[in-house]
Amino acid sequence: MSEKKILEDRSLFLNRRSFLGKAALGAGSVALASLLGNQFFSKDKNGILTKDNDFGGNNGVMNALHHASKAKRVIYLFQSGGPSQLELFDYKPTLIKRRGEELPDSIRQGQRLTGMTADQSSFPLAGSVFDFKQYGQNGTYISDLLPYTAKMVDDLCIVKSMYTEAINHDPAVTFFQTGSQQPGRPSMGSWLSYGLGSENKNLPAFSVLLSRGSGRPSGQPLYTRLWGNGFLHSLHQGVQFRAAKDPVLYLNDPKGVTKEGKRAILDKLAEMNDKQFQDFGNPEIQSRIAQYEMAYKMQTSVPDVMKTDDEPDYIYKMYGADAKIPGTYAANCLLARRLAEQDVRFIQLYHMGWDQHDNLPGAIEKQAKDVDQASAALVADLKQRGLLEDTLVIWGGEFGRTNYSQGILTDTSYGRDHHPRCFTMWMAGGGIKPGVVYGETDEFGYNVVKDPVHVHDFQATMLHLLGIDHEKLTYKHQGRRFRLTDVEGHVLNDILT
Amino acid sequence: MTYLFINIGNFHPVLVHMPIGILMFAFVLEIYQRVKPAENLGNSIKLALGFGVLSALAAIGTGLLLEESGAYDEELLFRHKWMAISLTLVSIVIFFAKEAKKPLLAKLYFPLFIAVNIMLVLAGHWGGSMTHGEDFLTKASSSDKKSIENVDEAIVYRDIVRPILDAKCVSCHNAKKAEGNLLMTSQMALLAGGDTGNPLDSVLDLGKPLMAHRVALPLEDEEHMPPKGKVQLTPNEIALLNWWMENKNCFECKTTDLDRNKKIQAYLNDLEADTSTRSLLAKSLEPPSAKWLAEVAATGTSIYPLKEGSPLYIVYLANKTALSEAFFDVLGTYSENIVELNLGNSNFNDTLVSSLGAFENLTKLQLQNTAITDKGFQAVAKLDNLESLNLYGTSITDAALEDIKALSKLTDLYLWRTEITDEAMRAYAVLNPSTTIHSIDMDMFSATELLPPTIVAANYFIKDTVTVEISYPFDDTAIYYTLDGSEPDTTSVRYSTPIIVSNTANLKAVTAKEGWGISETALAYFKKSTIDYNGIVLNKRPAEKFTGAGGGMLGDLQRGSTNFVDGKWLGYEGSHFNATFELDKVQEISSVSVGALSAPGSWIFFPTGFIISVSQDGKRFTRLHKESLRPQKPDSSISLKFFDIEFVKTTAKYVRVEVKSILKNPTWHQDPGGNSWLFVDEIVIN
Repeated sequence: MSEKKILEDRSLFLNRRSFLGKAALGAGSVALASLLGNQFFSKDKNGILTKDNDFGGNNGVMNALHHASKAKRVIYLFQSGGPSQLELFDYKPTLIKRRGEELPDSIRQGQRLTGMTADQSSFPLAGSVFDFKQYGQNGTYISDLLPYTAKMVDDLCIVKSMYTEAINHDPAVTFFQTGSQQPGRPSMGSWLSYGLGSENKNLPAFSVLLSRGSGRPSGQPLYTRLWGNGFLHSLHQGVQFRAAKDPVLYLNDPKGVTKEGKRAILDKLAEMNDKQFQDFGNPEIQSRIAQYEMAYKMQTSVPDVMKTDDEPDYIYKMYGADAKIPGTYAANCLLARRLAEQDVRFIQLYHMGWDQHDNLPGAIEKQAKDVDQASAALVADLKQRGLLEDTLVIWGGEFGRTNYSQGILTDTSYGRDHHPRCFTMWMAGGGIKPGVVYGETDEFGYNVVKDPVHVHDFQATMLHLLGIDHEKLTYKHQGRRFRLTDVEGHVLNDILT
Repeated sequence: MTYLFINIGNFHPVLVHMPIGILMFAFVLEIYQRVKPAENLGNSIKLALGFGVLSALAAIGTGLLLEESGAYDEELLFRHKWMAISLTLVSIVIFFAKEAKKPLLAKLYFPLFIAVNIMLVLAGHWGGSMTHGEDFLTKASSSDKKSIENVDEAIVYRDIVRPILDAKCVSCHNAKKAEGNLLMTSQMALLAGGDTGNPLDSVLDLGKPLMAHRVALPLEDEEHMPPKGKVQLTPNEIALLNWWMENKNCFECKTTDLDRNKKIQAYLNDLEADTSTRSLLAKSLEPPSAKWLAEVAATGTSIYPLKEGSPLYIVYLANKTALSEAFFDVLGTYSENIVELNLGNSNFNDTLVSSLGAFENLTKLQLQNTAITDKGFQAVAKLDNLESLNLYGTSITDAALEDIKALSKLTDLYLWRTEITDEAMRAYAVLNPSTTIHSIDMDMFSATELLPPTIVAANYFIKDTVTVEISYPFDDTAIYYTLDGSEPDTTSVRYSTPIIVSNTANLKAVTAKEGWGISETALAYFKKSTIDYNGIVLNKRPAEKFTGAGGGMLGDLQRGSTNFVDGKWLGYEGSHFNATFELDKVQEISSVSVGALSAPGSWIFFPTGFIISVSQDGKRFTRLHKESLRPQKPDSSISLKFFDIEFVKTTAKYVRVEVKSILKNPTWHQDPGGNSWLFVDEIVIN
């Protein structure tokens, strides 16, 4: 069968949608392809890539920012599992005073519960067994569990009035990351990669680092779709950096393949893919070419960034001894700073294990120790390097925890179930007012009573700081325009510098 | 019926465009015909005129219906209506005059055609003025709105409320188009109110002024103001209007006369003119050419505007290691448009610094980790618009800090890991209180501890000897250990080569390093186990799910882990444990050690007691020892423990070990009285 015949056959198989799609893209895309086509052959005689082609997918769809930005990049320290605000930030003496009393119905107001406590006959109020002290210029209450965070409190904006719509882990994390509880939409980092692209053409605009907490080592799993690109170009998906011999999977060449040989393969491949693209105009072909190129560049850029041997001793002392052990939260915080120095647009950490349904005091102590010093060190380290000025650091989980005990309340132990109506996050740097506590919850730590912040408000604010109007960064998919904040979200002007 | 009329009337603004377009195009054709008589366009012109007349009639019809509904300025309406009617009549005349035989008509044709066009312009303009306001065309665009010079001196109504009303309300509530019979053009008009009352009066059942209520309604609500489709009030504007109304809508008060909370003060401050360097530059500079932007991009330099439409640009050259003067030469064409330059971690140095001179409008410059020294820094100190300067990781000294003093607008300065002394920084900070030198107190991390070392051994039960290795991921850390259970410190034995352990031992180890806190202790318990078993018989069967590898597992010298489903545990639900060990020969024994697990979260508890019996023949057992333990304290953490049961030396061939379970969950458990579990692994007899 001749090649021509194959092509003809294939064109007959084109379905209606791709036919219409192709007709619409039509001449334009073919012209574009021929313009771009020349750039594949940008190697010198030795087969070394000499010129960056712009296929790295690093240029965002936005030609210019909607307004001047305060932040150029984001480090999101996601605390997966739902950290208890009541043991960490939200000091509630009433709960200690009224320990063991029933949660009043006037406070619960019919809040739906998870299957884990819905059958519980009693909801005894449980105060924190950990003490709180006041820190910083405003005398902000911080728990004894977070001694290092407490020392950085004048650089943080603590939002105590977060609330969400979901009550279970996966929908709640998905909601934070994508703006929808249903899977399928692009993650925040993907939106930024799509909108803004990245200054760094050798690393993915959206990088992901995972660590397991010691508070609940076998806790909730996370799914790769949480850093997925949804309906955006697959170029924009998050790339996970692992703490292993191959930090990024499938990046290394097989034995016996030289750098030059690889270049030659990629150029030939790009040439063929380009021909395919000129015939069909399917943008996913470009995406494929771009990913091959990015993988090629990452073969050198990733080892460079992961090689932390050159960090001096005092840096390890800042982040904590854990930072020497690959795969820990502390090590990931250090990597996050290195990625920020390389101008990666969105650096997402996930620290798992905050899901303390039982034995909360014992578990949260370990869990807090995992993250306290390294989180504070990251903010401090960014600050002294001048990076905090334009890097937004976010610390928070997907929801809070109940003010009553899940299971029996004992002198030393209790548990807390998921609680969507209020929880605490903090932000720092990148245009956020430092040394501020925003929002308030009632004396029971159950409902927000002042300045509520919805997940979409948080997302809108994050985009605002990056110079994006959350209502304007959209992508048309299946006949409707989508955005990260769906149809809601208000920028929190009160916490902006 | 009226309702229907209004709806058809609403089509007027759509239909009016048809006669305007068609009649004007007919006129264009007419001119063309006169320039090029060879083209025969007569019929086309006549057709266009005909359609133009028909559409004009439709527009008039709908217009008359709309007139019924609207509150329009009467004078404008009168002019618009009659101009439209006359132009339609004249159009009918020229339709018949086109190619008319009568000389009078033929003569009038062209002048009338010109007249129709003039009338079209006039009627259209008056119509537009009715809907958009008379100053619609000449009004300055909204971006040029005036800002307040000093917000503390401003009169709330005159300087803050009035401009908001003028911008967002008055286009419908004016004398010409008084919607709801309400005028909002002046203090008098506001107080006079409209059909639904005075907008500033509190409506009793709402508890707030009518205007505050109407503004706060959801956008979809018919009563919401401004109506859907019109330019909406911003949240700041709403807050300011409410603030004014809450303060009894004082018409003469100054901002300082009224109570202001933080939020209102912030909104008020927003009204002041932006006098930042960047804002002033943005107003005075022209945007650079696209050609130049392309040239810059071609050098591999990343350049982008501050925001859409801004003439100011950010240039990013960080992490580049092959910078040369050529990069700066290209940028130099529009050097004054560049306000931010990032050269961090690049090969920028004292030679290249001379190229910076032209970039006099830089407000932010990043030179961290570059080779710049005091010598080159003098050129930087001339950039007197600088507000943020990053010099971390450079080798500049106190001399450069002297030069920095010349930068009067500087607010943020980064000097970490430079050669600048603390004294010099302190002296600078005193003299320049508006500049923040961003630094952190490294002492805050001084108490950082090392991690405990990792103890690795092939086995924790010693038949003969066991080799133990202790390791730590850091370089040059020292490991100290003890084997007798005492707490190790830096005076204990220092670990260098693997330890050989030959007897029951309690190994404890710590790590230490100069400048770091000593680590917590790592523990490992090694148990001597010299007696071999010929066989182990389980007198009670474990639960089906937790049978592991059977009774033999109790003597395989492999302990179960904290993970109770690892297959190395024997699990008993609501029953005791009972097993008989046949020793390899008759011999003296004096202790039994039982390994057990506690994980109350999984309904697993430690034993409550033990009974040890011995036998020579395996049939007749004599009870040797019985022991009861105190009830376990409430604690839901997962832990492993070895229970050592010591007794008088006895000779035996068979040993029966009974381990008592708590059987039912204790009262403090989340399921009190439920069946509890007993997990046993590894029983060592010595």
